[in-house]
Amino acid sequence: MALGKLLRLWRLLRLGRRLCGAAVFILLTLLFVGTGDFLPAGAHFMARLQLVPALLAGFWLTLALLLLATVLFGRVYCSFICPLGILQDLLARLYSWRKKRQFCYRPPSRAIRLGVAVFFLGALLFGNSVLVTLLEPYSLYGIMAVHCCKQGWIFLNNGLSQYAPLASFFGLYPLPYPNLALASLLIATFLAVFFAVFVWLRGRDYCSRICPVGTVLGWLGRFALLRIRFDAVRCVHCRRCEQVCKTSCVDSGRQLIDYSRCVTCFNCLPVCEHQALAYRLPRLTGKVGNSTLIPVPKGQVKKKPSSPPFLDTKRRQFVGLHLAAVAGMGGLVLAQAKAGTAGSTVVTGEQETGQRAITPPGSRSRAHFSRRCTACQLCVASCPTRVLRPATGEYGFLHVLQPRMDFRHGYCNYDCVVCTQVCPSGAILPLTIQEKHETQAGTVQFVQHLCVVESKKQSCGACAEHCPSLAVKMVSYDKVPGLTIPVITPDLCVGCGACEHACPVVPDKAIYVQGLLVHQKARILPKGQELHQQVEGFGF
Amino acid sequence: MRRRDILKAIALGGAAAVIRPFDTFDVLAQTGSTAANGNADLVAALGGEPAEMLHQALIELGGIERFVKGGNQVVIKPNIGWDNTPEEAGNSNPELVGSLVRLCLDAGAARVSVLDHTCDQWSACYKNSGIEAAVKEAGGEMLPAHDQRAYQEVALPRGKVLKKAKVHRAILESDAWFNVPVLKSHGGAGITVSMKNLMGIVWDRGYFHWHDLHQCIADICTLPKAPALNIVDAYRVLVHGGPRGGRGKDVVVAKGLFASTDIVAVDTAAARFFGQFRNMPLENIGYLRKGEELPVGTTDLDSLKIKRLKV
Repeated sequence: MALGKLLRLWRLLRLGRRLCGAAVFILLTLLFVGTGDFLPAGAHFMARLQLVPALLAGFWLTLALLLLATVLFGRVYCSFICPLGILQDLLARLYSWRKKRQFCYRPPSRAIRLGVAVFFLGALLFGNSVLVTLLEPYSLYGIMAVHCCKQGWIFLNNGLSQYAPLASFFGLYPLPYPNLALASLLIATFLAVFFAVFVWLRGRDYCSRICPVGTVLGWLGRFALLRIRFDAVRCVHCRRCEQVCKTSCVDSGRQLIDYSRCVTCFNCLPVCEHQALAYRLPRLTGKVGNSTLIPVPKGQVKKKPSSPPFLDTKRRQFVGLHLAAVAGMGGLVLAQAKAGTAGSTVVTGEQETGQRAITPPGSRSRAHFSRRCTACQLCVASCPTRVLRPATGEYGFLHVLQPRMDFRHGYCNYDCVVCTQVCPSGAILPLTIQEKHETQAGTVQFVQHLCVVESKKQSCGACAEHCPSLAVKMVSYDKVPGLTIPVITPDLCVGCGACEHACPVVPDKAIYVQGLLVHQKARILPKGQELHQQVEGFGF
Repeated sequence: MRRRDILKAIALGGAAAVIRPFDTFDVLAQTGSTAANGNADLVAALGGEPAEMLHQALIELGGIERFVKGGNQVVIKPNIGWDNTPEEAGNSNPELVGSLVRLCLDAGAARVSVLDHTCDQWSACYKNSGIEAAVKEAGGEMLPAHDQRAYQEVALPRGKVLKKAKVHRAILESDAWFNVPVLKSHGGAGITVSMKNLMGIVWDRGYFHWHDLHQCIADICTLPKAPALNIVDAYRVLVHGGPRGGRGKDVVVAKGLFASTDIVAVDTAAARFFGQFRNMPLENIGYLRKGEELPVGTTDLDSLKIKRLKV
């Protein structure tokens, strides 16, 4: 093939990668940032493509397809689908305007990678926790998107919506900020700064040295069918390919590519003017089409990736790290069991009222929920009533950032199932509205002596008016005409928190919802009927 | 003040006194029972569809032109508090609100906005109540009221407990606004009609519940910017378990409508209508008496000129 044609092909490949990455990134960002109903159809699908959520949700088909894609094409996941990877690509591109960037080959840090990967898999195995969240690329991206982009967008929107004529023209109205915690804000800010600086200094080093998903896919990528391969004869060691490699995995000196780190971004292909690099199948025979290409024996190509340069032979260090990781895991598991977050006992958070944190409807139980939630914050961002909020200490320190129901700013809308539909990791399972009505995430508790009706002998009824299931209703009280006090029927309660939110009593509410470690079935009343009654008189 | 101004004022006052009997100036004398011009103080309609009853009631009250002038900014405040369907009767009837929007626009209103500070999530309420669709179809616009910045603090010097409140700016800046509540039972207040509907133009409702609900409801009715007309939707009446409609709560299709400029009187009439479906003594509805004491209206229906319509 002529050089020009070949280069065009490689550029096309690179363009394809960029377009696909941009599409995934935009859709996912819209999913996290988007408000209202203008979400494109594919946005939810992008979240479901993410590897760790698919693993936790048990989407085996997705998982199999992703792994198959890796075996066939290399770590395409990291360049085409992973939002954190694409974000780093974007940052690198942004920086390239200011800083003429030249990468160079750097040896792999196998020990760190494997240590992190083992640590991560252990954390997944021993019940999901914040350790998974803080290493898992999709969740890291989600946390940053919600805390930085979404907040920023709302700030902008609310500023614009103050200009009345403009606002009504564009249909802008003020949006409420998502219900976020200080801890989650701090973590998100730290992450954003970390990636901004890290990409500036080291390119996509996070993907090639830390990311556990990258490590696992990289291990598979070493055996990928289609790979970027050197043509040893044609290469003139000009190092151009090396200079554009964001993961520093191309060694043009030795004509080697560390496939465990190569994210198939195709940046190196179009810069090679000597046809020395190609994204292709291995040569099975010496003779392939173009006779000007000098045949390369099969074994030579196959062996190189796994040959010594990439195998860090510091075995002692390697084993030591693994031991440390496993020991760390053990300690954390013990701590977890002690804190009682493994799913059986009461959590210590919010001790002053004895109130137990409430997991969203559809999460089945604390154990089910905390084992699957990667704290990507998608449900927090999507919650229309701002009832979901990242936990700080309520689930124990190991489950920081997993969402809980918080009734300070709102309550769970009876007929809303948004969070159950967006969750990609199966932590919040899909519910129909009917199923949600039958789900009891918590039960109502009434503290009569705090109630306005008892303490002030005045009418209120705020709790009962908000209750969607008649679990709270008002009955005559103290024989005062018109004075009514709440009575609760806990088996009708869904735990939506409307009563707690509406209760005017401060600081301790007279009515609140106690979380259930295992969600129960709520009794539901039949739908109301329309009574056609012949009304003759006015009554006055 | 200069002599010339005083003379001018006297002349204007004299002219006004002469012109007074004409209907066009009736808006100046909205409250009170001086039905000098033949308009009813209170209209009660029964048996028709919401739009039909509204049309006839307005004719008895002197026509929509009495309340809306050409170029006016009009606001309508229905009850859209809940994420309920129209059949669940937690919110004002969408057909009624829609036809009122159209009437206002036909009367020459420059702009008709509809808003409520909802209890449930606002956009869900607007949508599922059917009101958003009805209003947009009629040519009006929905204003969101879920953001504190849309509210402005107003002093209520006549209020006994509630001395100030944050009220939605659109109400304060309107030329005329209509209070269009739905009649329904209320666990804490007995029933909710026009007076309690004013809680939906206020930002901080918690204050009401914490500081004597009935008195605060009466106090907010002293708002200087009073509604031009109160139109009570009693087409579907949530007799038990209100104010939120939903599971386990039956609805009577009563097909009623009440309208008056006197907010206490219209609520009293609605309460007595309600009494036909369920025992609801007027003394159980504390805010009626407290409203009369302030005074913001009267519970003495016999002192008013009432027009009863069977549609």
